[in-house]
Amino acid sequence: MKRYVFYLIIVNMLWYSISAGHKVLLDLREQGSLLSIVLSPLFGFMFLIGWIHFFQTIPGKDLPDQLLKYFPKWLTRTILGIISIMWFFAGLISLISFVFTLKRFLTPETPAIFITIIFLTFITFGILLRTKSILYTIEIVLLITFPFLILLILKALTSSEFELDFVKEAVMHINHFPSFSAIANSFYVYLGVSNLIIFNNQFQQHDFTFKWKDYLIAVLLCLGTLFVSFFIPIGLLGYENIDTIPYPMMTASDTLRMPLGIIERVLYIALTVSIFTTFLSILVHWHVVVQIAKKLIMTKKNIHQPINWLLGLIIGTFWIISIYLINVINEYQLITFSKLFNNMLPFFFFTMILLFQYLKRRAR
Amino acid sequence: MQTKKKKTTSQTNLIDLLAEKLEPSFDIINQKLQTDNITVHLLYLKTVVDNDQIQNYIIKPFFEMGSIQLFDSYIASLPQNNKIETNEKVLSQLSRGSVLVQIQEQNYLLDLKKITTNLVLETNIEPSIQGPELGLSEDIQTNLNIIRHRYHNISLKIETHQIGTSNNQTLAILYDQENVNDSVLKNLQEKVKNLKHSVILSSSELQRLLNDKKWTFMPIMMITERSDRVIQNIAGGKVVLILDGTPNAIIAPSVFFDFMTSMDDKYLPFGVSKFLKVLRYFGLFICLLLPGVYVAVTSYNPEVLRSELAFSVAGSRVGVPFPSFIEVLFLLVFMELLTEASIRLPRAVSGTATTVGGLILGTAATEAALTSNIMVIIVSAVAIATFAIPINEMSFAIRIVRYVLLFFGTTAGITGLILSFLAFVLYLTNLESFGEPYLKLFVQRKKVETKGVKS
Repeated sequence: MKRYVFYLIIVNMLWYSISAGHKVLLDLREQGSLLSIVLSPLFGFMFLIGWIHFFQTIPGKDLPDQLLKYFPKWLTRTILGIISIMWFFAGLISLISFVFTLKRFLTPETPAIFITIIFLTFITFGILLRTKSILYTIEIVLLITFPFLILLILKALTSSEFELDFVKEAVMHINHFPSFSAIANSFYVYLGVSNLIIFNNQFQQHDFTFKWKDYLIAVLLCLGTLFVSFFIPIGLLGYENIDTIPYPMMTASDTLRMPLGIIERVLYIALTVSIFTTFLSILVHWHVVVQIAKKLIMTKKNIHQPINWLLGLIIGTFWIISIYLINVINEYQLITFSKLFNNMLPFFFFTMILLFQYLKRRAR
Repeated sequence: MQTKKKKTTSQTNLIDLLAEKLEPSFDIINQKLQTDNITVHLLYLKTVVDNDQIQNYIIKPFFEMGSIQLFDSYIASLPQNNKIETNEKVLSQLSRGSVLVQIQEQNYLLDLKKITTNLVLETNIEPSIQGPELGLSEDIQTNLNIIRHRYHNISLKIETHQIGTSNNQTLAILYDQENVNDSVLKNLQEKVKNLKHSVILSSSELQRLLNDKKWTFMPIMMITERSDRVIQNIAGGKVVLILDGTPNAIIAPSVFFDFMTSMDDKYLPFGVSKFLKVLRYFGLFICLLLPGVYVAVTSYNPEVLRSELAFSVAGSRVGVPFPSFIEVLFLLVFMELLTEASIRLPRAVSGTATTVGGLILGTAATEAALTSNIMVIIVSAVAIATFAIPINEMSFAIRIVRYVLLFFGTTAGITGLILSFLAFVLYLTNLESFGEPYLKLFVQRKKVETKGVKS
């Protein structure tokens, strides 16, 4: 079932290419974005190895299990609390930024709160299902969207609007030393595998052995995403003022046309694909939160109820926070916030790798 | 075969005892055959036994054979001879067409039933181009005979159960012992044993009773009338249930992809069958999404379509007084009624009904500006696409799901449509058919795939 791990990586990757992450990279194009992209495989490799190695040592188990085994309860709860807050915000940022995208590109007249509620309804349905069924869904959805993705990339790279000169101009700026934000944002693309903290309980030993080849493929996929999401907007929209565009990938896809297709503007295909990916991304993140919450509730000895009021409370909080934030926040604040969030991620994840090392040692 | 002597007193006058219990049925025959020195008693229900067989196997030999010993050993060696266990079993056997023969102090139960429903029917629900023309019959013996004749393997096991507390219908469970999924088999055996319903008449009813959840619309067991499908599924390790009196077999577990396979996929050349498969899935998507897409696109985002198309859609909607979703609902509901009518009506009338409905209603509706021309095209495309799904239950289910997607397409446009489609996929992947994941892609070999995932 190695491929399911790849799907987790791919979902995150696809989401990255429309998220604030690549927008920040484009903003920082003269502060070392390109160099940080080129250097990112280093961090990526380190991260993937640190993460996957740990989870391979505990086949069929997830992080909460492992923590409960070796740590006192209060510490476990704190750690899991922090993790679930991080994951919740990761999903929340996806949700809010995508609702903004939809409002801007697809249904400008529909109130943002209504789009949010529609998303939340289906996500609530999805996150309560079994972990396995989420993996199966990801596979099927990726299979459905795959031809469209190929179409999008081919269309972008072969269109006459794609100016190689802009790309060349961007490449010339490789000599800037990367800022921390640039590194952090290019690191984001590798994080898909982090969802293994819950999803690992679906993988047994024999079907989840990452070899060097697999690491290489994973890193190359992520690196490819970084390049595509960096160069396609630049090539299509120009180098100079790309930072004035709030959703570079979407706007870039709107420059393309299929004069002979049923759907003329490529934007709508891009939007469809991104609805799929965003939904999956939120689903995966929040499913992790729900599963962690379930594990925490289970320790309180009410295992027999699969969905109890505490879980209802947590999902209710999801709803309230999302609906509240969608009303108060604006696009600028969102970008600022997600920049902040993304800057925090490297620290967070490397701390977690240290935690894993500790757990590994304890396990011995 | 049982030839032991029953010497207890209750057994000797078994016939009188049973005859008393069977009274006052008009068809009970308690007959005495007599020559000079020997007497033989027969007890049977004349409506279920074959009179010719009684004549040939019992009465004629009786008068031809001189001695009682000879006749006794003749009866004992008949292949129709059955074991006598309890009085209740004997009674139940009598009601199924057995004849109780008492020779001196010894009882024999001969299975001489008359079957009028053993005609093997032509397949008309799942016709195929090159596969076998005949399906199953309404008699269980004939069905088992058909299956045994096409699956020559001793590992094919047949278990029989009596279900329905009132009508005691025979149910056969068939499986290939070597590759059957044991947990499914056990689960089914349990469920069959725990059935408490008084009358179970058809396999679709049985299938519904075996399903734990009440509110389901996706089928998790397949009902088929094709014997080749039964054979293929037994060979694939599935369990088949055949109920007496119905020309259908139930196959469990069945997953989503089973319902999208036609038996012709096996008979046609590789390329052709792959093409047909692609076509079928295309039909599935059309049938699920097209009504919703029409509403979402015309009401929310007409700019999605290329401009010429958007104009022609808008142009054809000129004069239509409804919003697009009412237009879609109106025609879809009429289309459903038409489908329903053509199923229920006698065959002679149904042709007329569909012509009147399809042609005249469609034309008239567009001319009266109740719907647009394009809408009529879309609805008929959807209707045709529905029929491309090979198994009926699946196409019924998809027909219902379509309305859910239409609802979300109406309320939230393209977003709602895509999200509800995703939710449908999630629902399917979350379903299970006897422990097998209902919708799951099998990329690697089955062994590798099923080994890894915890259930």
